[in-house]
Amino acid sequence: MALSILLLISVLIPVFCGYCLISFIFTKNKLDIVLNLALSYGMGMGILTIWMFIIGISGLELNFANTTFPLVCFSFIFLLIAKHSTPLSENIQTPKDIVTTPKPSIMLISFNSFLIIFITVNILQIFWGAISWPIDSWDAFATIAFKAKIFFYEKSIPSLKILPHPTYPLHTSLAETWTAINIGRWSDQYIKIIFPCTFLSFLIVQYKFLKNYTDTTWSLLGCVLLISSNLAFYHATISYRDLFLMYYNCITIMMLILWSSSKKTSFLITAAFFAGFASFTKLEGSSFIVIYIILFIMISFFNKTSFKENIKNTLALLIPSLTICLSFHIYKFFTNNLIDGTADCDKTALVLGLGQLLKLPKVIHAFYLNMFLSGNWNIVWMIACVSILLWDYKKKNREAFLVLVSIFLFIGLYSAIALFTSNYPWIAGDKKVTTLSRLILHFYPLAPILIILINHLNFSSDRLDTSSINPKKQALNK
Amino acid sequence: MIQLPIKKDTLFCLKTLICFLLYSLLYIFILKSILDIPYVAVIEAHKERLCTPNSDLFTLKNIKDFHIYSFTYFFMVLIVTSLYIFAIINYIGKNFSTARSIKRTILLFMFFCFFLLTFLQQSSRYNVLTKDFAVTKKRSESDKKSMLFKEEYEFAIRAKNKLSGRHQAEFLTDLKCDEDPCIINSRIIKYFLYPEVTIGFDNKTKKDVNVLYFVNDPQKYINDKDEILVNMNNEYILTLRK
Repeated sequence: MALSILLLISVLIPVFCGYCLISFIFTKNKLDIVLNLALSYGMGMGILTIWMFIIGISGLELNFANTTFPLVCFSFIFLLIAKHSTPLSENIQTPKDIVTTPKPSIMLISFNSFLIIFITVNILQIFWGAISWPIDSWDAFATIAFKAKIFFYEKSIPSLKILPHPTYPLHTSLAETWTAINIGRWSDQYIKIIFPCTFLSFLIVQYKFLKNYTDTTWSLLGCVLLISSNLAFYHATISYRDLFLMYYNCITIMMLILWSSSKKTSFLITAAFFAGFASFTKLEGSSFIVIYIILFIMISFFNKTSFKENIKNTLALLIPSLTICLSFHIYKFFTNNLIDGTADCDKTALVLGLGQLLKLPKVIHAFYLNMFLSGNWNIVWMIACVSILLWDYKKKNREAFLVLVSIFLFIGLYSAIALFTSNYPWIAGDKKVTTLSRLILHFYPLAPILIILINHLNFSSDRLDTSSINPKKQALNK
Repeated sequence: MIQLPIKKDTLFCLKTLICFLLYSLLYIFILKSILDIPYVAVIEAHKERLCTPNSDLFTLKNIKDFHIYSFTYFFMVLIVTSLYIFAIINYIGKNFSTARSIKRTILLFMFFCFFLLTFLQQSSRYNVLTKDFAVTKKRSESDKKSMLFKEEYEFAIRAKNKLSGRHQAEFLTDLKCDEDPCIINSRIIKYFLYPEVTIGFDNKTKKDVNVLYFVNDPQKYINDKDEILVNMNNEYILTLRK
């Protein structure tokens, strides 16, 4: 019982800190409370681990008091500022305000209930699987949980040089250390509570995101498509960093798309923070910032914002994300930790040359085998491909277009990493079985989101075109 | 004329459900015919294969050289292509409502394929869950670790019980540590020995312990004054240098 309460506290404190910051960011615009709480978990965990990193490297002891009290106090200040400010607009405008949806039939309610039961059963399975088994996976022993254990017992962050894979960011390890600090001991089982919580938080954010553009049934279907992935399901129960990167990465994309629709800078700032946290989760997260900038440029072009607005938005995106991203890399630079190690271990070594392009067919083949013929993703990628073929391009569906572009950018990025760095063996070479699945996991949720965004319009073609909120367009449509 | 007291939406849902059931039966019937196995065996084969937990790759073993997803894709491509061609013909003929209906049919069919595989996958997941539950029932965390990691965990626990305070250790082995089994087992040992025994980094304590793991000639590393604290079949040895 006491352990359950301590575990709950280990989750609630980051949620509270995240809630305060999200409320501050969304001071001018009210955000749906459920979405707020779901985002709060990710925001809180991100801020918490960065704070722990600062404490660790500054020589202060990594304990409950040093970790919690300053963070909670700062968070409280943000919350007070947020509550004292009057919101300019009551709610973020959603297509639901414009389109009147008919009352659902009994069959539809039954179908929705069935989907909810399916999702609930799987979530319970994930929670049970996570905390019933101790850590038993390679990366956990070798790096993630091992580093977390060191931080817990040494009560500090020792020189990165002496740790395995010293260049790797520390978000997941510090999150596990946080859980151990809360329960007062190291437990190979209960430190994994953060993974199912992350998955649940992501599911809620995805649901709310899809609900913004579709309806309950389609949003639930999106969640079912996500849960149907064996790899995502399994990674929500083990101590790997890929789930966290999936979480921060895909939520950044969703926030950028919400910013595109609503033009509210709050979403852009949230995206910027999550982009920064992604860079503190895995090395690839730093390279994702390039993708976010490309999406940002595309959205700015679509929205035809003024020059002044563009500058403001650019700063809103780059300042939080690059501050978090560069801080860790600058720290590694000054502590001489930019290179991972020797030979195969150095994941950051470049292998440039036009001859590398000859490996492209092998890389594409590796992606094809993994996405369509492995047991990782159900048949979701095939459904996504067929959905793209059946896409009604006459209907403007900017959100789906942005998601599609994101998917291609991620595939392109990882292909480039395979071709032009020493990571080729891990992605498409002899060792491809060990890495490629996890790389695809980082952007996999975009596939269910794409399927739902495309097919919702295909099935509800008699309704108003509800993609991309545009007051002028709504007036014209009315 | 008798009017059915069923709403349009309800009728659509009922039709969809019936079509889904028919598709599921057709799928199982075709597989049963091709593979020449009983109906139940078709379902059992799916249950064994659709969820094989692995952190890096869920492999999808064939059923008698038959790939489950390849068959589904073949089925999908066959029906989707036919319907798509029919939809294009209707678009060209400017029969847009029929083309749209065909599009929706294609999408519905895709979701039929998805839901059938998901149901079968869910029963596969349930199998994994029940096996895990049976194994972990009434076992403590320590018991589970002992069951998973066997000698490596037992060695670490014995070593920690024999030592007081914190030490640093030298890890010695005649196995190649970049290959199985050493590549993973060495890490398991290092993980479970920590924090009492640290291997691989300086925690500012005395480096006075040797961990001998599958060393052919242990005596080479053991001096007269060294105390042998743990010896498991001469394969896992912990010595304290004096």
